[in-house]
Amino acid sequence: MSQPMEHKEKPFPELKRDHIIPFSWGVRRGSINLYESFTLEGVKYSLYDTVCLRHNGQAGIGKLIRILEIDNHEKKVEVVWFFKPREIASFLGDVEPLKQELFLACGEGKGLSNVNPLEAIIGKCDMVCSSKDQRNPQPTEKELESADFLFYRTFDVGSRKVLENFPSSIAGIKVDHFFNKRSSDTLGDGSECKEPLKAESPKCDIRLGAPGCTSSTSSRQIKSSIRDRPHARDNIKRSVQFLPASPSDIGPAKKRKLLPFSGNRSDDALFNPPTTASGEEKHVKLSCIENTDLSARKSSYLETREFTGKGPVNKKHVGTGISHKFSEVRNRTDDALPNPPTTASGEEKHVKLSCIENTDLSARKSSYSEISEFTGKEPVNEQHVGTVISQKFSEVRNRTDDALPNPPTTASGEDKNVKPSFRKNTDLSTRKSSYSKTSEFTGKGPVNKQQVSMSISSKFSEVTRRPGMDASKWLKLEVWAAERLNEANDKGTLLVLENLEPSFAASEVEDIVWHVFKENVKAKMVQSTAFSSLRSGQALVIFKTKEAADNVMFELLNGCLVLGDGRPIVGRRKIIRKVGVAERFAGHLSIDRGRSYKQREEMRNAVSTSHFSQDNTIEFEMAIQWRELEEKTRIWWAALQEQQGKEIEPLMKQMKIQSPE
Amino acid sequence: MGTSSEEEEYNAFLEKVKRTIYVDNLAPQVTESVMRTAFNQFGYVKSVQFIPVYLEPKNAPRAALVEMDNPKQAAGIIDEMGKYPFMILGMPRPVRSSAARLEMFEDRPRKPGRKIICRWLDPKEPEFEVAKKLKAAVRRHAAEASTVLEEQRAEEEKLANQQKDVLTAHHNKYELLQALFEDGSAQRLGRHYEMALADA
Repeated sequence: MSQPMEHKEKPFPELKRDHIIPFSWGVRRGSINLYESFTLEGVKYSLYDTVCLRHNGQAGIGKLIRILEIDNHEKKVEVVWFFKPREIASFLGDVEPLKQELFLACGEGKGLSNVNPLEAIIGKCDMVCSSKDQRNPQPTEKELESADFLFYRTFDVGSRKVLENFPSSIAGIKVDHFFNKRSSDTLGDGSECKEPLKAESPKCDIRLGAPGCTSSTSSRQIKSSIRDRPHARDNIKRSVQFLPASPSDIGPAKKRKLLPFSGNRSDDALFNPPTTASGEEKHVKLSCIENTDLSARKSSYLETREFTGKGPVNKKHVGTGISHKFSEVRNRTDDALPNPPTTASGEEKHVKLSCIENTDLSARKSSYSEISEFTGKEPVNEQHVGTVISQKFSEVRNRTDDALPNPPTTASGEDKNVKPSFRKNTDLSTRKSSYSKTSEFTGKGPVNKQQVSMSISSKFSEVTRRPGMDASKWLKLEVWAAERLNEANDKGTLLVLENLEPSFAASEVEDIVWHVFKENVKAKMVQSTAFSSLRSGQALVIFKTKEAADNVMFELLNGCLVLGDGRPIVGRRKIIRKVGVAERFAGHLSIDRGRSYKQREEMRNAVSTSHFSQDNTIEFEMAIQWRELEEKTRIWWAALQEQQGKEIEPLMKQMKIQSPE
Repeated sequence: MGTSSEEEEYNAFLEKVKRTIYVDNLAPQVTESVMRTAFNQFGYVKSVQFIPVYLEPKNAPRAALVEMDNPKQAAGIIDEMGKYPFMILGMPRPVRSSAARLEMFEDRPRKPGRKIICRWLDPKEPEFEVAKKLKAAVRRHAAEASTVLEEQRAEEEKLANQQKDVLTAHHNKYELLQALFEDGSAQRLGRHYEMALADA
């Protein structure tokens, strides 16, 4: 140590002594420059911005913690990752991620952060931290709503656990930078932003394997200039422009495609659109890329789900994408990609790409898949989806309703048809029903009569238990076997009651029918499955006679029988689909047909017939494809449920709620 | 209403719901004994009940409720099956599992103490029109749901066919290779190019 440091390479500053140490640099070997911001395709990125970038062929979201340029103008960014719930699914345990939630990486270990080529950046992400942490400037409602993603928990890459609290620093960066930006943060508190830069420089050197690089402020040559950018999405006014030498490398977008990073040709097409100056444009591209990336099959649909239709601006694009879809989709193929017709805006691009995606994905795809993929979390977006759903369904509805057998009277086909002539009919029907009821049941004692009259006089009455009549006396036990149901359906004695409280027991439905119609019936709740409505419970009800069923059907159609919470009961004659259309169960394969039959027989008798699949098999790969499809359909159903809820709830609010005393 | 025995029964039922797994995407050939064997690997299966499908053709994927010994076992299985694809009686389509809900059970008891009230709306009431709209919406929603289901089944069919093609192609390749070894062509070629071939 006493020797003066005159070595030619790797000088090492010695700080322990307090007197001046003789020191000089050796041969300069490469250099690293750190920056606080840069502008790429018209969008300004600053340190601690959240960006979406491509990493290993997938899109990832991360926080910029370092922006650097090494020697030969190689531009790099280092990001701390945000994990998508799916990426850490196996460590989530009972943690239920929110819809737009991501998890900030923390701790020490693999997956915390990465150095990526700057060109890997796809666009900016609107990320809000909703943590109640004191250090976190609380977001406004509006910010929360418009954000692409939010986070309030971290994922420790070391212990692989989701944590609710934030450590004091992540990857050597003060945690404050990961929280929402303070509005006071905007102008020239250079000290704060310079500090991490200084502190981190040596670390960079190590990572990038460039020894002897400069770490002094003078060699960083940061030139600060504050520019006013009206279109910048956030309020950062801190801006450092590129070194005089570098802008030529970065400026034009076309340059990017020459870089080795942008992999496939669809990317080339993508990066060609005229450079536009707004951050929103980025979003469009972002979703485009995701859409075209389908060749990387595995997580593709997932990505689309996560990256489309979230930005407020995207809404428009999504809308256009959907409406243009069918007209454009037909003739488009991948070949169209490298030579896209010259169009003026990125928006058009998006339309096309979503078209291509459609052709790729499936020939038969209806607007549903489209909906699910584009169903963002934006309320307005939902509306769009809604329109499409309802448009799509207007046909369906007509078809289905037509298919229903005609109820006994002409006046009561579709609800719509009923309306005009309704006033006239109601009187008649009420009169008729009251008549039939009273006449049928006069013999049954004063209590019954009272109930009947009460229910007719539009007051709530409590459903009492049916007197001890046992329906099994006239119905055999196995009425619910499919053949029996078909029989009952053919005879017309079967009705489906809908919009019941899903948790009703069959006997409760029997009671209701008895109470209201004085019909002794056998009911069965339709057991719900993963695809059932959570709102409307269904029950199969078998009447003694067709006339009784007709009568109930008629009254339910014309009148409105409501339960205490305001839900009207719907009656329907549903044709139970005939069996025998059966081809085979979709999804089980066997190779040798001759052998397979025998095998299957054996398998059925054999004991060991189930297994987890190993991840190095083709079986596993195909199983994952099924999982993808499951996930996709799950999103369809969720979107449908949500949309339907939005249609029902406002109506339900108009209904008076009467709770039983 | 709501005698203590009723409450007991209902609570017992709720407990049962908690330890039950809902499993779907099952092949129609799956029987109760197959299910028992499959799930006994993870714990003790108390009962298996298939959910009848009234509104779909018989070849459609079926669903079942598997009651395990305790909620912990059930949760463990759901977790495990979420991580790795689990096959029952055929591949490569995995079965899917989730926690059961009480509406999935056939033999659910009445909720003790629940009073049901109902009334006919008077056509003169403003609510009447609202109820009409609600009824229309319910009908429409049911139709929507069945269309989505139809679409889903179509997608499933498509994927199955696609996979079948892939598998057949692979199979043919293997057969071709095997044939080459069997008729000695491979060995002949090996000798010709002076390459050592492993015994096939």
